[in-house]
Amino acid sequence: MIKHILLTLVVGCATFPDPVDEVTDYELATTDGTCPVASGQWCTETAPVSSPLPLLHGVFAIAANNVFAVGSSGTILHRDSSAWSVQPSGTGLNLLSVWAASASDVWVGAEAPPSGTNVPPQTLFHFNGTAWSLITGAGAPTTDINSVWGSSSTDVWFVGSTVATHWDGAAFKQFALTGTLLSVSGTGPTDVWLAGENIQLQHFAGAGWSPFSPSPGPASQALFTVLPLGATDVWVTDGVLTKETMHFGANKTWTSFPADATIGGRLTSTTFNGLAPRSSTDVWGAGQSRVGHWDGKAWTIAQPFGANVSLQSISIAAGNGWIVGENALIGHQAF
Amino acid sequence: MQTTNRITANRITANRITANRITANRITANRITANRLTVNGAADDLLATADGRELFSVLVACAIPSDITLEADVDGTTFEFFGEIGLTPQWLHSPLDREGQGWVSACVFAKINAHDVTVNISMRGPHPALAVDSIERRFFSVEEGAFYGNMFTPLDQPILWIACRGAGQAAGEPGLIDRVCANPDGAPQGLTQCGFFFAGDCGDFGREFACEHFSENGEFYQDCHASPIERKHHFPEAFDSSYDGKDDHRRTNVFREVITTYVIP
Repeated sequence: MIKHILLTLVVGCATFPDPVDEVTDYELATTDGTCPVASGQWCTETAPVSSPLPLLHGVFAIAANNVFAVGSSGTILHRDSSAWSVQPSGTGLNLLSVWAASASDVWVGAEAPPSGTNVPPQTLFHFNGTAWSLITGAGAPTTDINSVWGSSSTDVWFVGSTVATHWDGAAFKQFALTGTLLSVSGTGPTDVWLAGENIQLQHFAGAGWSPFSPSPGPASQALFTVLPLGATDVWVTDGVLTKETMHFGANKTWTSFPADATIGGRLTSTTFNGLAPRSSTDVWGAGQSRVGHWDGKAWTIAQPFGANVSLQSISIAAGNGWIVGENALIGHQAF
Repeated sequence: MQTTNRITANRITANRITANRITANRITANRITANRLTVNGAADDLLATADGRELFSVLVACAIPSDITLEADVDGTTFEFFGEIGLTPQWLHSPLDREGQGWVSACVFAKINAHDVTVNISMRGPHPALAVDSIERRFFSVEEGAFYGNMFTPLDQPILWIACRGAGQAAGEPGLIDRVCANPDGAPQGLTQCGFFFAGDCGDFGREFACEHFSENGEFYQDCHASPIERKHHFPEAFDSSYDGKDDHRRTNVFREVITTYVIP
């Protein structure tokens, strides 16, 4: 009976909303590397990598059984219906972001290589369904790509450092900005949002980037991620204590909602690195070691993977959510 | 000034500093603005590249207060750079002196992240722009370490970037998993995992420590060295203000512009 309970803790992971920060054996999973399907629970899946375990920066789910995760030292992982596998990226760069228009049209952005090396300066990779290749054409990004988002295969944005680059299916166009661009997302080709450090929240309506008014805060306020769900349904996350998320709503003003919690007896404030929606009243966030859930009224914060992790990215598709982070962590929930 | 100004995010990589070093150095010899709010032409080379603009954004965020925005025109494009911390507002009107270089450098070093991820940090130090309130102290309770040195050293000398390890980092606090620039890399050269010079533990929680004082009220380290203070002077002399340290050459180079960083658990 004791063994059964322990097994449940390990492979079944935590149940929301109760904080279960003592569950730290996340690296242990079922033998086939995929979670048991259990609605309402986060569990962990085994990444087929060896030590040193990569930091997984980005995850994107195309479908329930078609998920990509990318991370440090050129790590690209793919999940099909049965397990995760490694895809050869051909690079040792740290891979920061991933987005896909389809299973045969996947983009990955990288951290720019150190100066003075012989590594090609380009930082964008593409998967055509068969193999990955470095994009070296005219206008291809050469700076960090912290975030990728598109509305289709002919409308894709890559952002990082101070540059936002657009791909229209035939050519790249670069937009020079300032600060550090961290997050891009949109609802369509003429409704794209951009957030970052030392830069105001930016909006693209089809011509160029401009600061969005009203601003969710001071110009210098770092915004970690942006998630637009509609013209009057936009989320940003920040590091302002007790105001860690800001929502732009129907009254066309920003309203703050806290993402604080006392976990394991310690006061915490969570800045989400990533947000992913199931609906306007069912949004999930991941940041630091914590996962948040918005139910339409408030955020519930928990620590389903233990305290000794950092969660970097979250993606939801077809009723399934994935979270990735430090030490090759892959969390999964079938909603 | 808003109470949240000391809480800042960090994302810039160490490589961004070294890659833009020549152009970054050039701007210290000039006031940062040509007129009231326009960036001086000495920054043109830095602003001409994408990564240079990113570094300049960090420099302005560290140096200039949050109520000031600088503008720069580069090839017909106007860029805005937003003040944030306000460590050296005098840079708006005069060259950045040695003390100012120390504060801006400490701030930039504190913002460097080896993992290229963004983490909120609380900056504290003996500077009015780094004062904290009780709420910030309650949330940001894990001490990472302290950062100091000078990123504007002459080009024929290495960048003087130094870090000492704080109590939370030494204790292996999980909230610091993505903050490793004050953590030693374990190699005999004495560097941190970001390539900074590792000065040892900051305070007397360690066997050898780098800083002479710790402000209990402000929760920051002061008067820190590039290497541990001689062990023979540890107790009680090293934290005794009457000790002059005449027999220890490593005490002679004391850094006053030190920023201590904290994170949320």
